[in-house]
Amino acid sequence: MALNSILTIGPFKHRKDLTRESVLSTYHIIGYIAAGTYGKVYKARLKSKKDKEGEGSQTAKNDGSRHDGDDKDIQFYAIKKFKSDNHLANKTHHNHDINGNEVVHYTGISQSAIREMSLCRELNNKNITKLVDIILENKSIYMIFEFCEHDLLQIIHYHSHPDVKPIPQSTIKSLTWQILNGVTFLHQNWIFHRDLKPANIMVTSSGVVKIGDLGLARKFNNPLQSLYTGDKVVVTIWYRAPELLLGARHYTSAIDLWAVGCILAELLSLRPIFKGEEAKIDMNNKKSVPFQNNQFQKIIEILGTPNLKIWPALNKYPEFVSFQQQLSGNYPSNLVNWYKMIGGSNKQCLSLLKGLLDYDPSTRLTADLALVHPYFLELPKVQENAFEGLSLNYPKRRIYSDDNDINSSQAIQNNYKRHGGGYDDANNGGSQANIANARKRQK
Amino acid sequence: MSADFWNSSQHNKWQLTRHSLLESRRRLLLLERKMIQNGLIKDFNVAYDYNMRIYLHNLIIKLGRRLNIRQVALASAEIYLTRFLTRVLLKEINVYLLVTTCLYVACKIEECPQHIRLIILEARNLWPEYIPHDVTKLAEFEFYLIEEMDSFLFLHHPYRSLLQIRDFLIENQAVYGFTLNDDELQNAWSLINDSYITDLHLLLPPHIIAVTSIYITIVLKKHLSAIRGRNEGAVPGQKPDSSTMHIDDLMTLANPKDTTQSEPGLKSQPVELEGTNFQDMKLDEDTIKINRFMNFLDHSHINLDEVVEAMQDIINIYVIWNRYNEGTVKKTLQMMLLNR
Repeated sequence: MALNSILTIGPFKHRKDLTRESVLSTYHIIGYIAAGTYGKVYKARLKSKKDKEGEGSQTAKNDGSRHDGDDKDIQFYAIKKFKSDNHLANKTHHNHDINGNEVVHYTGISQSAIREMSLCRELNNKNITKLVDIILENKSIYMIFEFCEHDLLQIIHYHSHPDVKPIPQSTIKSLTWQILNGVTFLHQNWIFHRDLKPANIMVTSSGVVKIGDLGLARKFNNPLQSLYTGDKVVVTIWYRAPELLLGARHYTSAIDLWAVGCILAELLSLRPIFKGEEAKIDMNNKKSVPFQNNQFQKIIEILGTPNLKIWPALNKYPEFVSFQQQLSGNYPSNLVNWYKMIGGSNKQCLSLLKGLLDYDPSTRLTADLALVHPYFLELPKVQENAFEGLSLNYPKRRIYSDDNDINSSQAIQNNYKRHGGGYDDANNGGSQANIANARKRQK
Repeated sequence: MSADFWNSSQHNKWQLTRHSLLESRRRLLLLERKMIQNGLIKDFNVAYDYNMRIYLHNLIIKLGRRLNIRQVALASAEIYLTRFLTRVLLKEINVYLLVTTCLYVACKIEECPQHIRLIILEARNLWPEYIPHDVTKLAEFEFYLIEEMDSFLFLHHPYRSLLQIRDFLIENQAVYGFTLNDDELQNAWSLINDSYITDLHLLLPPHIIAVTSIYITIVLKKHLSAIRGRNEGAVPGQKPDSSTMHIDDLMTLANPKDTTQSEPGLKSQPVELEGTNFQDMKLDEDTIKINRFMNFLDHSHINLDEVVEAMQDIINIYVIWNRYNEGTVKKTLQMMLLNR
């Protein structure tokens, strides 16, 4: 039987805890941006010398209000704090201390958090959110990213509320190209994103796309098991590729391109192109994933019913029978009409959209080929600043300053899913429950 | 970047030089003295030497076998261990828990995650006196391990380079007239497994280690069959196997006299490596093979100095392994951990 004294990491732990620079000693938390299943994202800036000197005497004063003022020269950060997965601890321990505060236990870092940490540490590309640092402190993981003022969800919302004002063509083109550029980089590095959607596409105030939230991303070179075994459900339902809906075990990077197609369509029409309803996982039988009948129906209504001629491997997929049984009728392809109806006129743009929304993943456009699609070669030119020439000012990201206690784990629980926002994975794309569960299962 | 070693964190953040490695070991020594002075740790006679390294290497393999963990995860765990111990003293931690934690993290990174309860259960079965029931202890160590590595977790291993070289040689057989057979591949693979005992993975790019393992394999093969030819029946059916590897042969190879010879001779006359051990320098099949491999190396622009460097380190393991006594290391650790 092991003695307690030798089981700890003893002197080492003590030494490290004494010297660690804490999040709060380095960053000033302005407020929080979003909360989701993963935890919470805060807006922060580096502490100045003055902050550190004045500490204790007037900490309350500079909360919240400062970010509205003179922002130009200040570098802001988005600090993602992972919610610790506590259900394991719940079973064996009382998880509240004597004052009713939650006691957090180490439970092992989830597969999704460790993927995001390790992937972001390797990736360095203009169109991927830049990770500045990772701080492991007090049983919590903090990932510190460069702050992005906007995201596509917010931009689309701005253009559709209160009345519809289309996004200028040049902006759509530049945004789409930059998204594809980021996706190309990921795919060249053998990484699937697996959760591309407007809320996860950040844009800086200077109009540069930054693909974010790599919480579902993973490497796809040489997997030992089928990708399906690891995560049964990937990609938010509205952006989920048809091969995934058909239960593909060995899918490819083409799933990300389908999602980009959906995003392009959404930028054009200002609403999700395939807004299906998610069939819920049966809680009594979590192993079986239901066929997403309604989502597939939405796709068919616009793209037509797929057949073996346009998608030769169609009958090889596990859910082919469900597909045949549940989706009767033979819809013709309607994408051209859809495009006309939303007011589209550019032929190359339609051609790109068609290429991305190709049923057959083996012939769907790849990211690097999409980058040189004629749409991007004709005028107007793709801009580094997607907002170039825009006279409008997108509203800044909302900051909630009612709770900026980054140390409190309870705050996360209380505010869970209360607010929307770009960093949020809880507010876009129908029900997020299954994705959230998928993330949880990645333990 | 994760597809490309040269842009990876392994190259940019964690590739050390001999000098910087020495420097961090020196810092550790200073830390150790300070901690002993301050009564934070006791002055046990435990050193992170090759004996300890072989011991730790075996611990990882033992636990890995029990859980049926794939080789690449074991390899990653070994690099985590080596990295960690460039910054942390053996005396301030519990190595059994460290080994378990390295493997736990490596399995997640290599996409073959093991449940924390299962891994701690198996570790307890192996080392009941050193592994706690409580999974939170392992989960806690995970944080400290990742922190110590600055959260750089992705790794490139020589196994992939080895397979790439094999495939390249098959595709270009017309040019180089030389391929690796299954035995040679297996042997090189085993040499790579053992190379994790050394610091090489902190110092050199993975392809150098892969090339070195091939080099040792084909040179030794010639060596071996030459010896066999001479003493027919003396070493009957001795199959090349790395762990119990023909240590005598390796020691001959590692002999300083031979290695100094090999450096200038490596490029043009690799056969000279064997020196005067052979009666005849007949141009047999193996010699031709070595020459052809050297020709390939010439064309590849691989840094041969690094290959020589790696070769000396790898061969050195087997010299030490010959004298390695597991019991001694085990006892020293027991003394330390139980009297802390």
